[in-house]
Amino acid sequence: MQYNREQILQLAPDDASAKAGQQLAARSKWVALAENPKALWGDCQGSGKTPYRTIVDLANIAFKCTCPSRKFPCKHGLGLLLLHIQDRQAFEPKSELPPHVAEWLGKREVREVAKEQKAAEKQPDDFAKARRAEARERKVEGGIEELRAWLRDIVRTGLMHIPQQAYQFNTNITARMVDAQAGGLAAQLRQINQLNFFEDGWQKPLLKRLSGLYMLTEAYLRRETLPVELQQEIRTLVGWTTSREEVLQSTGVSDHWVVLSVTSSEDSNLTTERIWLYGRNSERFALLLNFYAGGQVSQHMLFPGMHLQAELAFYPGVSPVRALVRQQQALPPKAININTTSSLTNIYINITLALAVNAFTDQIPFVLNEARLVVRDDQWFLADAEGNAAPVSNEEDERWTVLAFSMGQPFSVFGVYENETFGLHYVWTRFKGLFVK
Amino acid sequence: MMEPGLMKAALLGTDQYVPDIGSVGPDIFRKIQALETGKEDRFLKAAYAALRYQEAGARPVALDFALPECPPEARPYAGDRLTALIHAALKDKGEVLFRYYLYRIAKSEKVLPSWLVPMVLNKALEAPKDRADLLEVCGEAGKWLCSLNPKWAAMALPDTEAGSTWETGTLEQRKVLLTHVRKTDPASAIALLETTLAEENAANRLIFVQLLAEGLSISDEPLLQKLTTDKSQKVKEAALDLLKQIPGSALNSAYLQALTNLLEVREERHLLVTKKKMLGIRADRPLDDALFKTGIDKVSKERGVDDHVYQAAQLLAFTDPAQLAPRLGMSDQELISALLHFKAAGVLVPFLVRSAVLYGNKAWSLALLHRDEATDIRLLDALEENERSAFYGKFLQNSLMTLLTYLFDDGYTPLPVKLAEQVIDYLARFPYNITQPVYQRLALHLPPGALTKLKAVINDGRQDYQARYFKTQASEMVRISELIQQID
Repeated sequence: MQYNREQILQLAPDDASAKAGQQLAARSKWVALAENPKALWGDCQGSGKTPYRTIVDLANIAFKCTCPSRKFPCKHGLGLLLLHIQDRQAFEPKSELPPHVAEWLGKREVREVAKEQKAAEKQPDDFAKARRAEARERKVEGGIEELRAWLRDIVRTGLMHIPQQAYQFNTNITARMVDAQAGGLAAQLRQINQLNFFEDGWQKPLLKRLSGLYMLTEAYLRRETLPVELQQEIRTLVGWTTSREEVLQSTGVSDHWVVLSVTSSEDSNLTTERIWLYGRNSERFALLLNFYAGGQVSQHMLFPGMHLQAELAFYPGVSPVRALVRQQQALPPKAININTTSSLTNIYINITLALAVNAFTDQIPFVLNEARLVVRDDQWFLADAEGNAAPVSNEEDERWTVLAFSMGQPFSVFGVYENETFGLHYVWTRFKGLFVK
Repeated sequence: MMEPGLMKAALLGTDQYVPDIGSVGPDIFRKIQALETGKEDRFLKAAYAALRYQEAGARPVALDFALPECPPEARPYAGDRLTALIHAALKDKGEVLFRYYLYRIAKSEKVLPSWLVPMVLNKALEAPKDRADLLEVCGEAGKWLCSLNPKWAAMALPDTEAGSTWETGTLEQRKVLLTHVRKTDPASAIALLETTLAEENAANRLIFVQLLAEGLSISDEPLLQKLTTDKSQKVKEAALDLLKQIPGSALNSAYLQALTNLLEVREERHLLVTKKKMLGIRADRPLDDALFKTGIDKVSKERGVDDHVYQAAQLLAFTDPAQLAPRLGMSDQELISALLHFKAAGVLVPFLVRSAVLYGNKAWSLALLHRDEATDIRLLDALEENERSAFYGKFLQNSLMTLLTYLFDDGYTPLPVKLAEQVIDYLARFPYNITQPVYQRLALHLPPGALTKLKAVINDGRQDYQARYFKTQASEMVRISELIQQID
C-alpha cells in the first residue's frame, strides 16, 4: 500500500498549488530524479536557466526547494512527491545522498533536537507572568459579568425577534469579549451566527448555545469548586491558553498514530484546522488543533491516512483529547482497521459518559463497525447492526458519496458527534477506504 | 420533559412567561427553582440542564426500513490510477481529459468505482447529450443510485421498448430517446414520432423533425410529405429540406428532372483531335412554378449571375451526382469536370460541394478538393483514409481548427507522425490559433513518434513571447502524453 494522490494533494497550500503540482508530476518536467529510503530529490527545469533543486524528506514528510515561491510546500515539492507515487521507475535509486540533500536532512535533525532542548530549557519569568495573568483575570471577569447581563436581557425579552437581526444582535458583545481577552467566549458567540435561522428548528440550538454560554460563565466564576482538570477545560473554553511549552513538558503518549481526518473551518479570517488521530496501541483518539490567521497556510505535513510513530503530549483536561506532537516519524502506509463497536447504543452511552464528565464537551469522536447509511424521504441515518439509527450531519454530496461507496452494504466509520448529529469523516471496508472530509 | 415550557419562555421572554421548573424531572431542577437569583438566571440554568440532560439521555431510534443493496457489478472496476485521474479531472473541471478517461474506461469495458459515481451522475445532469456515455461507466451503482435519488431518477437510460419515456419524459429525455432509436432502428423512430405527432406543439415538432436528418431514407418520405402541410412554417421548411435530400423522393426526383431539362451537353473539339463534353444551362426552359415553393429562389442572389444559372446551381445542391451523370450520358468525373469548366463555375462550387458532401461522391469530392474555394472538410469523407492525407496541408494552412476538429475522432486515433509534426511546426509559428483545451485534445492524438519533435521545440532557443507560450503548451502536451501512457 502506498499513499495516494489525494492524500498528497491534501498537503497543498491552495488549489492553484495542487493543480500546478499535478502538472509537474511528469518525467519531462524534470532533468534529474533520484531516490533513497530517506529522501527524494530532483531538478526541475523552470523558466530560468538553472533548474530548481527540490528535496522531499520521506522519513518525516518535509519539503525543500530552491524556487522563489513563498508557498509551502511549493508546486515542485508536490510534483516530485506525486511523480514518485505515480511513476517510481522515473527515479534513479541511490545508496548515497548527494551533498545538498545530506546537508539539508542533517540540518533538519539538528533543528529538531534544538527545538526540544529549547522547549525544555525555557524558563518563564514567573513574577511577570503572574502579574499579567492577574490583570487579564480582572478583564475576563469584567467581560463575563457583561456577558451574563447580556444573556439575561436576551431571555427576558425573548428569542423570537432574533432571526430578524441574526447577524447583528451579538456583534457588540462579541467585540466586548475580544476586548476582555475572553477569546473562547467570543468564538462561541460568533458560532451562533452559523445557525440557519431560515430553517425550522433554530430555536432549540440557539437556546442551547445561549444557555451553554451562561452556564460556562457560571462554571468559570465557581471554578474553585471544580476538579483541577475540569477547571483547565473551563478556562480553555473561556479563552485562556495553555502554553505549548507547558504541554510539551507533560508526559507524552508514544504510539503508532494514524491520521483519520483533516478538516478546516474559517471564521472571521481565522482558519481552525482539526486533525483527528487514532492510536493503534493506546486505542485512544487525539485532536491536533491549529489556528491560522489571514493568509497563513497549514504548518504541518499530515494528511488523512498517514501513519506515524509519534509521541503526543495531551493538553490537561478531564478526558484529554487535544494534543501536540512532540516527536514524529512517518511510517509506511498500511490499511486502517479499527474495531470498537457495532452498536450505536454503545456510542450513545459513551456520549452520555462524556457529557456527564464534562457537560461542555462539544465534539466526541467515535468508530462504528458494521454500519450502514440509509436514506428515506431525504432523511439520512447512520444505522447499526442492531437496526438502530442516528441522524447524520454531512453535506448532501458527502452523504451520497458514502452511500455509493458502501453500495448499501455494511462498512466501518470514523466520525465525530457534534450538535446531536453524527458527522462521517472516514469510511472503510475490508478492502477499501474513503476519506469523506 | 419540560422542553415545551422552556421553548415557550425562550421565545416569548421571561417577562411574558415563566415556566414551571421545579415540579418535574431530576432534583437539579428543584435546586435551580430554589435559587434566589432571578428568573432569567434560573431559566438559563434550567434550560441548559434540560437540554443537556435530554442530549445525554438520547438513544438511537429503531429503524423501520432498509435500503436495497446495490446489485453486484459484472464488469471490473477501473484501476486506481485511472480513478484518481478521473477524480482530478472532475474536481478541476478538466473536460477534455475527463472525456478521454471515460473513453478509456468504456473501451476496456470497466466501470467507475462506486464512490465516484455520484459526482459523475451530477455531471450527467448538466450534460444531457453525454448522459448515455456517462451512465454507461457508472455501471450497476449508477442505476442503483438513480433509483434512490429523485434528482437522478429521471436520467436512467430510456426504456425504448416500453415507450413510456416517449410519452411521459421531459423534452431532453425524449430527444435522447429519439436520437438513440433513430441511430439503431430508423424506421422505429418514425413510428415512435407518429404516435404523438398530432399532440406535439410546433416547437417540439420542429426539434423532432430535425433529429430525423440522421439516417435519412426513402422510408421517411410519407411522414415528411405529411409535414409539408404542417401549420408551422418552420416545420414545413424543415420537412422540405429533408425531402430534397432523399434520393428517389418525389421532390428530389422533381429536382433531378428539372435539372436534366436545364442542362445541355455539347461536344466541342479540343486540340483539333479530341472531343470534349461541355455543359450549358438553358435559359429558355423555365422551372415549374411549384418548385419555387419548395425553397428554390427564382431570382439570383449573386450579382452578375443569371437567374437560370442560379436556379440550376440550387438544384445541383440536392442532386445525387450518381443519378445525374447517366442522365446526361456522362461519367461522374466528366460531369464534375464539365461543371467546373463552366464559365460561372465559381458560383456553382458551393452548391457542388454540398451535393458531393450530401451524397458522398468521391469523384466530385476529389475534383472539388483541388479548388481553393472548396473549404468544406467533409469532402474528405468520400475519400479513402490514405487519400485524405494529401489534402490535410490545404486545411492546415486555411483553418487548423477545422482540420483538427475533423481529425479528432471518438476513438482518439493518433495522427500520422508526419501530419503531427506539421501541426507542431505550424503551432510553433502560430501558437494562439487554437485554445488550451484544443492543445490538450491534440496531446491525446499525438503519436509517440511526434514527441521528439515536440521536445525539440521545447528546448529550442527561442524566447519571444509566442515561443514561450507555445513551449508551455508543448510541455503540457508532453505531460499529457506521458500521463496517458501510464494508465493501466
